[in-house]
Amino acid sequence: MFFRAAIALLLAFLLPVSARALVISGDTVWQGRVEVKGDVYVPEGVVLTVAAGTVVTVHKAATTSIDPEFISPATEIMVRGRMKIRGTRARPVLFRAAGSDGEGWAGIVVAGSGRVEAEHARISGAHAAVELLGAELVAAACEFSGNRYGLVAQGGRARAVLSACRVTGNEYGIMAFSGAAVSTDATEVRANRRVQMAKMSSRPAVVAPMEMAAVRPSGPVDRYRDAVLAGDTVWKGRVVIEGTVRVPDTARLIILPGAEISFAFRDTNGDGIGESGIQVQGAIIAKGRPEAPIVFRAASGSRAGLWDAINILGSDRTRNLIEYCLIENAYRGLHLHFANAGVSHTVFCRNFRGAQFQESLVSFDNVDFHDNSSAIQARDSDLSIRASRVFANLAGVNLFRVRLDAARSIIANNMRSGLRIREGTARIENNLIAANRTGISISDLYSGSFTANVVHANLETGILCRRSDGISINGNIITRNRGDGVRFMDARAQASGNLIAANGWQGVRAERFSGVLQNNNITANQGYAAGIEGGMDLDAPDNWWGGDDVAAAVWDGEDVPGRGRVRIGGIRKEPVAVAWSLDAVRVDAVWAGKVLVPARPRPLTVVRGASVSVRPGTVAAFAAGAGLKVYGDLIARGTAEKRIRFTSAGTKRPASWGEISIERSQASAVENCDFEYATWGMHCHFVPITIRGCRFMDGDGGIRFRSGPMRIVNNLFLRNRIGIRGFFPEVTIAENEFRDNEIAVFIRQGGGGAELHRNNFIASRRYDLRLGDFNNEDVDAAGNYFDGPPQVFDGRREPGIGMARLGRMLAKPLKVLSWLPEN
Amino acid sequence: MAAGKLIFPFLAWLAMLFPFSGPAAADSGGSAVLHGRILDMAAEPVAGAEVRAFASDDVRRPADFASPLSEVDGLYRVVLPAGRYWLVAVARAGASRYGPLGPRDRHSGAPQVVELDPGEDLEMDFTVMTLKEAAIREVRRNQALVRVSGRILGADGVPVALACALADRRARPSGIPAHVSAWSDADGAYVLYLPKGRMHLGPSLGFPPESGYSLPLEIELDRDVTGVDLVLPAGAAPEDNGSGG
Repeated sequence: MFFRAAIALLLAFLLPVSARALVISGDTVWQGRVEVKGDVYVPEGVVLTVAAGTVVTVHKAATTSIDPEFISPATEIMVRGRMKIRGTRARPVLFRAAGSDGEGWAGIVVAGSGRVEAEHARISGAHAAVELLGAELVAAACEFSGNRYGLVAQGGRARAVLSACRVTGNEYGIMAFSGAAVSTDATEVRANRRVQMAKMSSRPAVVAPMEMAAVRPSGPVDRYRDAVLAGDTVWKGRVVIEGTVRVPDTARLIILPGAEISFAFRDTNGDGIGESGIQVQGAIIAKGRPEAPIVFRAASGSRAGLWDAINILGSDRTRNLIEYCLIENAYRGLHLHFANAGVSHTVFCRNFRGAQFQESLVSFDNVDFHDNSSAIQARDSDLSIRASRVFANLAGVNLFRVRLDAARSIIANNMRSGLRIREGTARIENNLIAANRTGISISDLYSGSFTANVVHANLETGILCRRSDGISINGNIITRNRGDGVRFMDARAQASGNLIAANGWQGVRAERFSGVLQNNNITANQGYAAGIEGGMDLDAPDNWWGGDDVAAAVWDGEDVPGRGRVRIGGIRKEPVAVAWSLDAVRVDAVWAGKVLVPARPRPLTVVRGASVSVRPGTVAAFAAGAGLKVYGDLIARGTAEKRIRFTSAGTKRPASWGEISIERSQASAVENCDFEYATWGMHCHFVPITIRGCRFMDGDGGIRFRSGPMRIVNNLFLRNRIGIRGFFPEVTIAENEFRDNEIAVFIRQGGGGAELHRNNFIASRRYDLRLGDFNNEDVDAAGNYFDGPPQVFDGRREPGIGMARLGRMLAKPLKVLSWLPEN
Repeated sequence: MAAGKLIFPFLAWLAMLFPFSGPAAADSGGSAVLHGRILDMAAEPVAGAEVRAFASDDVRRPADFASPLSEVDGLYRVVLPAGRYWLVAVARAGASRYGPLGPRDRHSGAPQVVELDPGEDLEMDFTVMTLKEAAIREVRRNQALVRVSGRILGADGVPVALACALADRRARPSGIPAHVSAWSDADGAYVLYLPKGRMHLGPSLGFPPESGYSLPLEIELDRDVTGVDLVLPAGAAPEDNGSGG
C-alpha cells in the first residue's frame, strides 16, 4: 500500500500539465454523439473523419479570447488538414449549436491547404456553416441552413463544389469573395433572408512591404537550452535556442544589430506548435539598424508556429524596445502582459499571430504585419499605431477594451476583418482601410472619432457601428465598399463632412440610430443613398445627395410602413469639400462631389496599379502648390451636362496650384473636364491618351507632354501663357480653339511627330505657333484658321530651326466647341 | 518478500530525493505545526508541491525547511521550530528541484511571513501559479513612467537621425544605461519613458554607447516633458555612426 502510494506520489509529481483548445494530433474518427466545448484544430497532415450518423453539438465559447491558431471568438472547428464527413441519406451527420439562441458557434473554418469533403452533412446554428479561406470544399447532398452565412468562400484559391445541396434559411446564402470559385450543380439556394448568392471582389490595395536586408551573421553560434539569464546579457551574431530563455526581473537582454536568434523546434505535447521562446520579466532591448536588422525565426522550416514567442511579462519599469527586427514563424511573434513596449521598423510575418498583448502600453511605428493568421490581438491596453501596414493577413486588428490611437496607417487586403474594436475608445485618423472583408467594425465603444480616413472597397460594410455611443465620423471618404458604406445598429453618432459614394448596397443604413447625418456628400451608391430598418427616424439635414431626387434616393417609412423616416431637412445644392488626406492613392479611388487635395511637400501620388476615377460633375480643388502625380490611371470622363473641374482651392490666378502629371499610364482618359488656375493643367510623359472636350483656362500652361501617342481634340485653350507645349511629340492636335493665349502652341523639340489641323488660332498675344530653338524638324500645321496673319516663330525667323508647314489655311473659324453650352 | 526487499531501498531513494523532509510529528515544546492545502489558480489541489520555509527574507536560496511533497489532495504538513519564517510554495514540473523556475513550474509568489509560537498549529493555504499566471494576476507594482521627448542635435544644431537618447540615475553609468530610446527619426525626434525623480540624460550615436560615456543633462521628472533636446558633442559625425558593440 505504501509502495503504491509512493509510486502514485512520484507519478503525480511527474505528470505534465496541459491546457489549450483541442488539437487533433493524429488521424481521428468521430462517431456517435460528440460534444465540442472548445475550439478544435485539425492541423496539416491530419485527417478528421466524421462517421455516418454522428451528431456534433458545439457549445458556446466560455470566453471571447482567440488562441492564435483560430480566428473567431466563437467556438470553431479549424481545418488546415482534411476533414471527411461521411454521412449517408439514412444517417446524415449533424453539426448544430448547443441551445437554441441563434448563432452559437463559428462554423467549420478551412484555411491554408485545408480541405473538407462532405456527404449528407447538415450544418446549422453557425456564423458560417463552412468558411473557406483560400481552401477547398467538396460537398454532396449537404444542407446548410439556419446560419448567418451558408457558405463563405474567399480568395482566388478557394474552391467550393456543391452538388445536390441545399443552402436555405440563412441570412446570407453563398458569398464568394475575391475570386473564389463556387459551383452549384443541382443545388438549391433560396429563402435566405438577405442575399441568395453574391460574388464580390475588389482589387487589392497596392501595399509595398518593408524590405529587410537581413544577412546571416558569420562566426560562432551561441546555443541555449532552458536557461535563465542574469544581469545584462548581450547577444550578437548567431544565437540558437532550444527551450526557454528566461530574463528575470533583475536582468536585461540586449540584442545588437545584425544578430540572428533562431529557435529549434521543440514540441513536447505533440500539438505541432513549437515551444522554444524567450520569456522576459526584466527588459529586452533588441536594437537593430536599417542596414543590420535583427532576425527572430525558426531554426528550420518556414511555416507559422515553429517556435513560441517573445514573451514580455510584467515588464513596465522601462520601455522594452524592438527596432528594425524581422519576426517570423512564431506562434505569437510578440506576447505581452503588463508590459511597456515600443516596436518600430519591424516586420511580423508568417506567424500565427503577429502580436498579442493585454494590460500593456504598446506603440507600433512603421511596423508591417503581413501573412500572419492574425496580425494584432489586444485587450485592456493602450495602443498607438503609426505609419504601419497590416495587410494580407487572415485577420487584421482585433481589439477589446483598448484605447487606440491609429494614424497614417494602412489596414488592407486582410481576408476577414480589417479593424475590429470592441469596447474601449478609439481615435482613428488618416488611415487607409481597404479591400478587407469588413473595413472597420465597432461595437460597444463609449467614445470614438474616425476622421479623414479612406474606407474603400471592403467586401462587405465599410464602417459598421453597433451598440456604441459618442462616435464621430467626420471627413472620411467611404467609397466602393461592396456592401453598405456605413451601417449603424443601436448606435449614437454624428457623421458629417464625409463622402459616401459608389458603395454596393446602401450609402448609409441605419437601424435604431440616434444621431445626425449632416453635411455629407452621399451619391452614386448602387442601392439607396440612405435606408432605415426599424422604427426610429434618421436625422439627415443639409446633405448633398448628388442632385438626385432625394425622395427616391432614400428607403424609409414612405416605402415600407412602420419603418422610421429619413428627416431630410435642408438639401445642399453644392457638395461639401472633403479632403483626400492620405499621401498616396493606393486603391481604385472614386472622387465625387468636391474633393480637396491639400498642400503637401510632394504631389499626391497615384501609385502604379491604382487609379482615380472622377465622377461627372466632381470638383477637384487643389491647395496652393498641390498637384497629382499619376503612375497608375486617371479616369476623368465628365459629360456635357456634368463637367469635371480641376481648380484651385485658394486664389484664382495662374499657377495657383501645381499640375496633374501622368507617367506612362495605359488606361487614363480625360474628357469634358475643365482645368483652371493651374501651373500646368496636364503634364504627360509617354501616355497614350485622347484629351477631348476640355477647357484649359487661366493657367500658366494648358497641356505639357512628351511623346504620346496623344490626340488633343475639341478642346478650348483660353488665357494661358502657353496653351500646349510638346517635347518630341507624337500628337494630333485637331479641332481645338486657342484664344487669348500668350503662345498657343510651343513645340520645343522633335516636332516632326506633331500634326496640327483644323484648329482655330484667335487673339494669340505673341505666337500662334512657336518652334523651339532646339527643334530642327518641320511641323505639319496645315489647314488651320488664324484670325490674322499667322504669328509663327520658326525657321523663317531663326535659321536652323524647323519650319511650320502652314499649307492652305482656313478662311473661317470652325465650329469646334459645339459641346460648350454657349455654343 | 520481494516487495519487502524493495521497500527499504526505495525509501532510502525517496529520502535522497527529498532531503528537506522534516520530521512528521513534533508538536512538543519549541516546535510548531504548519499545515494546509496547496491549490492552483482554479482552486484545485496540487500534488507534488511543497512549502518552503526560510528563516530570513532571502528566499532565493535553498530553504531552511521544507514540507514533504503534497499528495493528490494538495495537503501538506510540516513541523518547524518556533520563530519567524518567510514561506513560499513551489510545484516543479520537471525533475529538477533546484535552480530558477522554469516556464511550467508553479510558485506562490511573494513570500508570506508568519511568526510561529511554540506549540502553535497554524493552517495556511497557498495558491501556486505559473510565471504567466502570476504576471497576469499581479497588480501593477510600478509607479507610472513619465514621457520625455525632444530632439537629438549635432553640435551644429542640425537634427540627427538614427541616434538614441540614454538615461540613468547616474551621470556616468557603467555599461548600458538603465533606459534607452528608440532610434531618432529624420527630424532627430526621440521619446523616453522614465521613472519619476532625478535622471541624467545624454545622446549617443551608436549602441551600445562608447565606453566612458556620460549623461550630461540632469533633470528632475515629475510629469511628461517635451522639448528636451540633447546635443551631440562637437566632432561626433553621423557618418561614423556604426553599429556599436
